[in-house]
Amino acid sequence: MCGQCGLILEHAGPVGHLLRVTEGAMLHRGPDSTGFALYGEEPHEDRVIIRAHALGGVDADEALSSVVQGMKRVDARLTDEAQATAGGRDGGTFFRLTADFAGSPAVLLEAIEATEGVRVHSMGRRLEIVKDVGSADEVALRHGIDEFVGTHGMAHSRLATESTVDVELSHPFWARPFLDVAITHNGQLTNYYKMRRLMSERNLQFLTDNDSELIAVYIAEQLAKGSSLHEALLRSITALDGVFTYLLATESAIGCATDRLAIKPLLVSRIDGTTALATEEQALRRVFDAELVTEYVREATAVVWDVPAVSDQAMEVGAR
Amino acid sequence: MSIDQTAAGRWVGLSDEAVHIDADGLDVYELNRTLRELAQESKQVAVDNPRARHNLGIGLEGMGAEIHFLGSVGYYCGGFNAGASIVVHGNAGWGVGEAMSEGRIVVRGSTAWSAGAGMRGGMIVIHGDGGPRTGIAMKGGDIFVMGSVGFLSGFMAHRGKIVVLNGAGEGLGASMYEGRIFISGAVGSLGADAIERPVEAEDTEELVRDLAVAGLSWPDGPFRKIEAEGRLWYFDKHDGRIWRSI
Repeated sequence: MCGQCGLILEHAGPVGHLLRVTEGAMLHRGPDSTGFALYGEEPHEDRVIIRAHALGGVDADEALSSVVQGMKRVDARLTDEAQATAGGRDGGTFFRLTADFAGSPAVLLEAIEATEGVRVHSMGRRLEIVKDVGSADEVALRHGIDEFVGTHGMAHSRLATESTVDVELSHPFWARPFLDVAITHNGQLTNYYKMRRLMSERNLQFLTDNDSELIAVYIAEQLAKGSSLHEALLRSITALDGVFTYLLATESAIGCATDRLAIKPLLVSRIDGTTALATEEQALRRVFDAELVTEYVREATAVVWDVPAVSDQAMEVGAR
Repeated sequence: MSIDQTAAGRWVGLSDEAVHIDADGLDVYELNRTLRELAQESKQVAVDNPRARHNLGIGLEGMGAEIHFLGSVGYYCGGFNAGASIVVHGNAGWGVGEAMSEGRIVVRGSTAWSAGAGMRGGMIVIHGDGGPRTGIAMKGGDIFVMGSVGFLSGFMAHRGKIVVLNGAGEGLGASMYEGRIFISGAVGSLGADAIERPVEAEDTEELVRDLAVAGLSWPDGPFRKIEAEGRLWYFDKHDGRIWRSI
């Protein structure tokens, strides 16, 4: 099962709230855990936003000061005080950190996770991943998702099949260490171990042994090598084996790819400049009152929707 | 405003005397119970705000009333229908009319996967496109599709009839036992053991009658008749090529 959704707004707006309402309509598809990948407004030069989780049983204050020291060692300067955003249901603590950092994201990631019991959920100039055990409403309330203003994002309710119910194994996954790349996935891969072995030989890293995380890293690697998002998604349709309909978000777009049967549904609707994607139509109708024109993404298909607010910014920068 | 409303906001085929139920605020059990009660004493019952919710109009019996859903419905609408006449003024999600035995379901938009899955009787008319696996494992009844159907339509059908006016995807009629598919327009491919047989004069007469009942017009091109060749009925396990052909 699993239910996922994605939203692209015409202008920055209450994307957290809209995703929470949309995802809340699909609780029956995955009551185990819920996560959000949210893309904030204009990024600052060299500013990296980090979302991390100190596991249950770890002393949160100690962990945080150790993380901050680790960041200093690699020349990452905190721009605000680190915020402990919420206590998770497992007794752990969630953190949001922002830092000026121009170096390699992999180095920063390593410096943060050098502190025992700390896991980084996302790093990006816009991206913030918040995921926890519980329903969309519970997780959103605990983590202040409704207040998040941004341009686009995704949400996912998970019915755990291939691995256990756990905060780290919830979706969305960040494609470590590639900034701003996140995935939600409905399905399961059957050539996971082979892909993982081949990718490990290329020194790619994973936080978990979850198949969905692998897809994110697979796509991000190709983007880093210069492929367009559409090319990378298309290639994944033949490279991946198994069941998949996944959403892959970057700083400036959301894309999707489906396997050759597309048995995991994904509906698309565009209304007044907003692009909305969801596993079930009733989820879209929670947000949009008007009569919708919806369409299923077909089998063996890759589609990319650009984020207009971001391309406008890019054009403004270009015009200067 | 829906595509199925006139400029004045009237729903096609819905009279002013229809009794309305607002689906908002009702859980699906209450809604279906109310539908059953109202259908016994009214000519037309209209459901406002279906909002693509699942399991609407399940297990209705024929009571002479016509049920109109004023908007799109979710999964399994009209499932186990035992004689009611249902009109969906929008799209329908997966498994519309699943396991129905009698009655008539008209979808004025398109349907997702597996319309009429395992149906035993009655009629489903789809004005838009049918999704993949339309009529999967159907055991009787008729499905009419004005647009196209997706891949593996008619898959493992035991009996019944699928009439498609505008093309089909891959694997049409794969692994059917019996039953017939009449298709006009382009076909991606025929499925395992599906074979084209000539359209006889009596087939054409039947189609003329059927289309009139379904309220559809004759397509521009000719019909082809697809049936099971029967090689899978008693296959030899050594002859893997036949059953592994998709």
